[in-house]
Amino acid sequence: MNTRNLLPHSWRKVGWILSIIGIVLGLLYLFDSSILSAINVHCKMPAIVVNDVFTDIEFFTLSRKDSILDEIIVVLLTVGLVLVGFTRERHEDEYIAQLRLESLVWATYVNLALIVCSTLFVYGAIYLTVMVVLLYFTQMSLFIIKFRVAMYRLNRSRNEE
Amino acid sequence: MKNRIRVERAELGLTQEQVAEKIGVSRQTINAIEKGKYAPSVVLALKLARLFGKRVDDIFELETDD
Repeated sequence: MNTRNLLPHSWRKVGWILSIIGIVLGLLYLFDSSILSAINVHCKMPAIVVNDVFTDIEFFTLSRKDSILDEIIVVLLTVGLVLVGFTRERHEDEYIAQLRLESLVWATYVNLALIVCSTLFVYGAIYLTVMVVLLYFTQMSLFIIKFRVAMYRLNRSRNEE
Repeated sequence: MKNRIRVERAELGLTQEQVAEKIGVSRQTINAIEKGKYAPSVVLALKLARLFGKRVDDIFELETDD
């Protein structure tokens, strides 16, 4: 079975840790960012393109940030969810690879449906927040849940020998 | 697609686990193939045939709706 594009099984634990930290920070950031002011870092980030409200669009410059917490959350969640979702199973084989593919296709359909629904039914500034969640979080999360459920069912399918 | 893996396995007195181990897949995969939930790759079908000492089409058979 060709599993070249999957990561070693042992990395999954690291993925769960990063994902959980990312989810906790992400929820705090979304619902009560005041709690997080303690870990805000004021700094300048190198930017390819910046479009602030009061300035013209600028390319290849430094962007002054009051907090890089959102950047940290996105990186933590992306790396974490990839490590959880795309690590090999302990006994990887072709049937498991097919279940993984089916789960990924299902998650992609559902995520795209959510994007269309959000576009049609969510308006105002919250639309941006919803899109960020749909971009970084929901597809991988849906895929991981679907695939883990499939693996759970598979492992439970004890059959009369 | 129908298959005779359960029968062939019983003739050799092998469990799903033992068949899985001999051809390098998980027991669940053998279970899914036996139940007709999963059609194996050509490589896996050939490995199963070799294990049972049969030809692939002695073990796997197309059904009318395939």
